Amino acid sequence: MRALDNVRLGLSRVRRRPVRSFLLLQGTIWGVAVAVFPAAVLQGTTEMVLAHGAEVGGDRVTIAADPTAVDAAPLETEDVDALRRALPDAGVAVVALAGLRVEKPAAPGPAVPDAFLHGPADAPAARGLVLAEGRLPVAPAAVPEVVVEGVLAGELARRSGGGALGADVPLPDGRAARVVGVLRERTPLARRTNDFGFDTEHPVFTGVTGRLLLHLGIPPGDDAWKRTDRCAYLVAEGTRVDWILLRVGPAQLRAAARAAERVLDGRGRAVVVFYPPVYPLLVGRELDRFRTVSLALFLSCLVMGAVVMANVGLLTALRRAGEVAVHRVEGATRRDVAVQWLVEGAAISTLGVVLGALLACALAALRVRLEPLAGMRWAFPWREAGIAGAVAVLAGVLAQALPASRAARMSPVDALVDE
Amino acid sequence: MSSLLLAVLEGFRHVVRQPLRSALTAVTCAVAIAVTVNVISLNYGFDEDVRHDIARFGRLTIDVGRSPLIRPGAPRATFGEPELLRIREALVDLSAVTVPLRTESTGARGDAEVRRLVLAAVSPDYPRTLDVDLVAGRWFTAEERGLSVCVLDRSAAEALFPGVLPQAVLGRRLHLEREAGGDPAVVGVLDDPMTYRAVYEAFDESRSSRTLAGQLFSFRNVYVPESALASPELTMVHVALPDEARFATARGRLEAMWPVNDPDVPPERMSTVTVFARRSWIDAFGGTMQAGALLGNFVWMLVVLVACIMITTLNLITIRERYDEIAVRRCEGARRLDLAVQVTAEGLATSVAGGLLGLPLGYLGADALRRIVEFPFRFDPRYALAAILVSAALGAVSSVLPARRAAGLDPARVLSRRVT
Repeated sequence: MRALDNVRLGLSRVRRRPVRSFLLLQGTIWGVAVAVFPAAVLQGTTEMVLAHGAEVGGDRVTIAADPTAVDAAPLETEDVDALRRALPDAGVAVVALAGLRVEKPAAPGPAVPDAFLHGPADAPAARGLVLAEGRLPVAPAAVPEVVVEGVLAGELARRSGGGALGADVPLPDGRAARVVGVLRERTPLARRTNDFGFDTEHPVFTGVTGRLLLHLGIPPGDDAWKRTDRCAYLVAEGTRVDWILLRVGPAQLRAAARAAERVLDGRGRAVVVFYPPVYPLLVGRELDRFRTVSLALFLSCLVMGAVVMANVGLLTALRRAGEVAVHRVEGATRRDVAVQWLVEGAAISTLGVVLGALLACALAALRVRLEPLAGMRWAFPWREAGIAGAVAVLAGVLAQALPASRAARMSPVDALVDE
Repeated sequence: MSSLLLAVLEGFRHVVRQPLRSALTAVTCAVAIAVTVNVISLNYGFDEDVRHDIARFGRLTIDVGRSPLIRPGAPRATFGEPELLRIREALVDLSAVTVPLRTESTGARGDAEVRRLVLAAVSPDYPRTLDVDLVAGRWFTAEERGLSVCVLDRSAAEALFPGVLPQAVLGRRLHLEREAGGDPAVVGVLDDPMTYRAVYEAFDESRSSRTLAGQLFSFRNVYVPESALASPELTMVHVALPDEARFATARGRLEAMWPVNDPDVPPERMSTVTVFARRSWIDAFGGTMQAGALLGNFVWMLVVLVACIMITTLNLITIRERYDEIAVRRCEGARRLDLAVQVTAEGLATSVAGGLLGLPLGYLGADALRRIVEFPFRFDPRYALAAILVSAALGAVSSVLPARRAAGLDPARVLSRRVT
């Protein structure tokens, strides 16, 4: 009960001087914020990539022939077969793998696919697409069969007044193909995400990141079709492959890319291999060492906060001599006085921790908003926040130790005489 | 003048009279300055080093080659001897050095095996396209042909011959893991223009998405004589110009032949051959680095701001405790200005002392972070002066409100309240 009274007393001081308390708590507030904010972003993004890798490109490796290589041989279906054989030996668990040849329509228009993608029947799975209705195409068939992506399916359905299944799609060679399957429409975010995992419509990507990638020598591709959700998949005829699409678990992204590059190098192919570069660093916890920097900033802010609190505590110990004396006359022991001061320190620091955690959430939300990486999210890092909070409260209590001892040692008689 | 001096002295005396409080305030400043000197050193030191590095990539060099565009199905752009001839003819009066480049990706084995290096076949003029010196040996001569000799980038030499000094690599042979084979002897080692190669290699996740031409500037190459790769196709033509004026002229003529690709233009409408002025890249990349360094300032500014707010609040509370002293000083004849100067002098003395204390703290912090994070944190003495100025500014700014309050105090009211 007495402890509760002490807490109430401590908080009443904060209430009486809200602005001053807020200003003095800056060290704790910012200290907790800089400790929690990076952890929130790292944790949220890692969780997002692991849980929704397909939506933000976190489970895909895309391979194309190097356009600048001398005498570069084009990719072929044999290269895809070689990958299928070699990747498991390299410890890569392949979720889906397909080689696609891209063919543009003769005349683009409504209800006409942006691209015809020639590959194996299950090629959509290699792009993380799921069959919503119908079946996968077979070949050979009397009438060429296609599976269409969600947005295109919607257009075909509107045109026919019914469903997209059974609708005809004009092929570039003049023939018509029959729609036998419809793929589930992708989310707007998935449709905006490129092979590097960036949201291509994010203003930071269009203004800064996209240009930076060009400066780093990363080639742009004629691949807008990947983001329209308006393509048709046919069973391939011929051996030419323009893009190899490989799906693996997000934790294996880098290993899969390296292994694929090695296999294709060994076959004399010069290739460029795309995958979101940030996710492997996150999932592999390689950025965790940078938490030391936020820890250093946390400790810096905390030391500043604690030192100022101790300083103010020493001053107020003098000013509150009368209050302490009355308290003692009322029967409080020296220990009670010391405990009251320490509890005040803990209560005020706890308030700082709460405000700091809120500030961290706001900073994390702002950081995510400014980030063009499609999979960047934030989540409240309970463990890190708990540790940071406990350390901050401990620092607040320690900062009050010297003032508490001074107040406890004060003679009530002297203090009342002075008053 | 003398009264101001007295006020300053009084300020210093007050600092000494309250050693514990002053020391605690100084510690706050010390921590803020330790962070400041670290962040400024890292920001500007890193930025300066990287910009110095990339400036060595050849400011007066222009590269012409196939556009790095992935256009499946589109015919591959031709780029070979006819284009080289066109370039030479266009620049014949500019004393330009033109170096045709052929590249191949290859594995190589020295004392150790390296899976992927760029084999770059170039003429003896190649070093003139860069501002990078040899650290050992020499460049190959026009008489040396085929895969008899090679020059290694320093990082390639270190990877192929781990633990061997560049000078000792000379004369060693490496085996190229390619169908046509090749065992060239190393005649030279080119310096590494990348100061932070370890950091670059650790975080260069996009290496596999760079084209062969782009990989050339990772400086992990094996350079061999021009005749070593016999393809009629070229990867690129490097053009080095002797001065700014001729660089501008050459750039204009080449861009008239192959218009520059605008990144906003759809890929299918982009030119298949690109003129790439390295200086544009150097400037753009340097600009990005500078912008990053400017953003990095936010960190130390935040810490200094937090320190400033807390010290201001602390000083305001302290002034409140010193009403009597201030009133007595006013009665003794001190002017409002004298009191403001006294309080400011107290703040400055404490914060500058804290700033000086923060420098060794910053040094230790940088050393610890460099070891733990494996990132080039450093304590740069050039920025210590800047940090001391920041500490003085911190002291001055955090004294403004307390000085105003001290100066604005009415001694009569304070003392009458005391008496009653």
